[in-house]
Amino acid sequence: MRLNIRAKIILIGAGLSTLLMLVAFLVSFLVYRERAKDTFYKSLDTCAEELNKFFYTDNICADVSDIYGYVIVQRYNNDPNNEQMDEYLANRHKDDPSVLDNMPEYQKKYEYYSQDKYGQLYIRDGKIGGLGLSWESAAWRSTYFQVSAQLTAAYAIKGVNYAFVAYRDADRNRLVYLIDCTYRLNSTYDENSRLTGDYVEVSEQNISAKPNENGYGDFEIGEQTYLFFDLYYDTVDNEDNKVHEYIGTAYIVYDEHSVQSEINSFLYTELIALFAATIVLVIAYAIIAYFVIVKNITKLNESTKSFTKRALEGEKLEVIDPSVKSKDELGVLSDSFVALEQEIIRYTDKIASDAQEKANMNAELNIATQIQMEDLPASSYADDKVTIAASITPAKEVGGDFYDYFYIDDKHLAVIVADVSGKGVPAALFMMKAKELIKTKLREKKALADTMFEVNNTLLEGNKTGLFVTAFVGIIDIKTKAMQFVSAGHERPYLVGDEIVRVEEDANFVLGGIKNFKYAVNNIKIDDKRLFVFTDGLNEAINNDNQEFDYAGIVRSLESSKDLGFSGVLDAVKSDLKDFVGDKEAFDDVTLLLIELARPNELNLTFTSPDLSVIETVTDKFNETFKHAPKETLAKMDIVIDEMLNNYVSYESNKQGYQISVCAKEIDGVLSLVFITNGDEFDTLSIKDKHINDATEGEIGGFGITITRSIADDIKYERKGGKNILIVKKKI
Amino acid sequence: MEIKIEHGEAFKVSAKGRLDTVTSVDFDNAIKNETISENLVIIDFADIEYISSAGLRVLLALKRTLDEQGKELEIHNINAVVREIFTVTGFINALTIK
Repeated sequence: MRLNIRAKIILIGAGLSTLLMLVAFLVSFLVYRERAKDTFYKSLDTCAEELNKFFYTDNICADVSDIYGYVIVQRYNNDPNNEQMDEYLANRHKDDPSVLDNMPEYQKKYEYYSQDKYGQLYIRDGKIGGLGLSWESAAWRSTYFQVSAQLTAAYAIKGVNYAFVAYRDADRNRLVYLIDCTYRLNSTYDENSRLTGDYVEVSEQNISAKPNENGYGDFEIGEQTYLFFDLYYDTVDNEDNKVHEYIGTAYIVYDEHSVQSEINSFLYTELIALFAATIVLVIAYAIIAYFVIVKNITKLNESTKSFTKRALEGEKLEVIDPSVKSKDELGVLSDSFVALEQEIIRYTDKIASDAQEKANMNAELNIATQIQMEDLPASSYADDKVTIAASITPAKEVGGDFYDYFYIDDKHLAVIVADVSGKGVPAALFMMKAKELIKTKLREKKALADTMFEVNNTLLEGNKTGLFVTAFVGIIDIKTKAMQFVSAGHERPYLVGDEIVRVEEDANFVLGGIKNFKYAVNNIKIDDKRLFVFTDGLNEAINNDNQEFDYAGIVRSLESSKDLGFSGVLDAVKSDLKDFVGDKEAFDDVTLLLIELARPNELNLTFTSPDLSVIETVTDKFNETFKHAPKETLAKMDIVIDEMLNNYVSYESNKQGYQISVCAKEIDGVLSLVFITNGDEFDTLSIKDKHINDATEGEIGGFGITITRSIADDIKYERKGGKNILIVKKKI
Repeated sequence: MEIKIEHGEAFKVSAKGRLDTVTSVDFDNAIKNETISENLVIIDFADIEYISSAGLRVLLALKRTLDEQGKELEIHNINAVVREIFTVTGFINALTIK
């Protein structure tokens, strides 16, 4: 369950408060209950002591025993002499004797007895009781009220049900009430009051229960406990004898159950009070927690969210102060957050400006690369004497490789492939210098050895950077198809004919290496072979297993691309290299150059965004190139050219930068026709042959591939380097 | 491509050169521009060097049109290359070759 911090703090607070409340309740339950009981018994003791103390003072009337004796007589011998009573009443109501007719019996008795000036009589429930003492005795009145006050005090103790003083009539097993507690409480007698002279029957066992040595005794009637102690009056009689006279017994009636419930009700109240206090505490805690912690955390949270949102949405960052004013850890955190924001803003700005700077630098490097590439001759060149294809793949933005080719005069073509040591801008600058220098020196048409000597020494002049160049420099005699060359520390090129042969040479040192180095010039015949020159970025390219592409890779690639037209070779080599290295990043530039001197029996044509008119161009040139071949063979190959070019132009040429290359050559009496296009992958040979039996059958077109297949002695399709390649062979 | 059309008992078309992607368009237009009232159409292949699938389309379309009109189409004087093409594609069965 996910709770926010506010809920957590309140929950923790509420949990702790509740725990605290429960502990407080438990403690008070245990302690208070015991103490409450102690207090109860102590109160009873106090009352008893007060009552006893009272009776041992002198302010009670001397003739107490008579008082009680009288009461008893009145109560038990209350059967008056009817004649005397009638006579008294008749005399009393002689003015209106009819009153007596309806007067109840007890009323009559009351009136009769109350004539005695020493009697105080009370009527309740038709019974008459009375104290045999004249109210004129101020001492007695005082005594009566004081005793009554003590009893009331006892009655006021919680759990005490009743308190009274009674005369123990052991003869009849009765307790005769003398003074009870209720008068003082209510100022009047009520249904709970015991009149003086009322009595209750008690068992003999209880009436004769003896107090212990402390003067107390108790017995139980039902659930009620009767605590009692005898009251005596100590005085001296006329003959100076000590008198210890029984007056009556004080009873305090209570029950455990009501004491308990009294305590319990108190505890319930306390529980409710604690509960209420807990709620108040939790609320107060929540409010305080909110202002002290949660509010600040919320502020921090809001600030962080707002700042992060801005950062994520790429808005301009600015410091968002959580404004936590407290001096505690949250205040410190708030200050730290502000500091952190400032740092982030500073870094973001720095990164942005760095990125801008880098972008500017990259733009400049791109321009440098562009200038460098623009300075190189076209990647493909063909005239009636020579066909050249070149490719340069820099490993970094600005590389140190270059190639060059140019006519020195009508009969001599210079070909240069070079690799400057090092990378990046310094290598590029050195490369430009080397390239221009070699070109200038070659155009002076000195002997190649002298040219190289001078180039080397010039490059060494003031070269403090230690950069040098490996270079293949060849001069081809167009007429003799021979080449003189110097390979200055450079990879030896390959000659690709029926066999693939690596050119042998006298090794030379790099350009810009040793002053006055004398370069040896090599001579080879190119004839009708192709010359493949490259930089070591090719053979030294490594894949993820750290294996080199190596010379074997070059030979394999050249071998497999032999059948392709001239223009397909470099693409095939690059494609093989790419397949080999996979996603491993190249660490060196790769420069390739392929050159072929014109041969009569070969055709190489490339068209960009061609239309159908190229069909005639190709068939005308094909017929011209291979005019020695039988007419029927030429006608059939013309049909193949027509079918294929028609297909390509109709279905693929809508693509931008679309190119078709057609290469044709004759090897050992076999005419080989190669179509290379950069269209989407499509295997022409996947189209099924179509053959009809009557004119109504099927579509009117779609016979092209059927015808082509029937004409070809051998036909194959392959997809290589993003190109569709179709090779059609036919014997002459 | 030279195309010669003669009216008479038969509607006769003679052409010279290759019947390929480019020329078959001219060939087709030349015939379509004429009103064929004759019941027989003869195409003389004597001077046709070869035919490509574009040419086959034109022939097949013409054949279907004439069939609908109840007219006959005959191809005369085909050379070995054309015969081979007709054979491979089944036109040898679909057309009347003489």
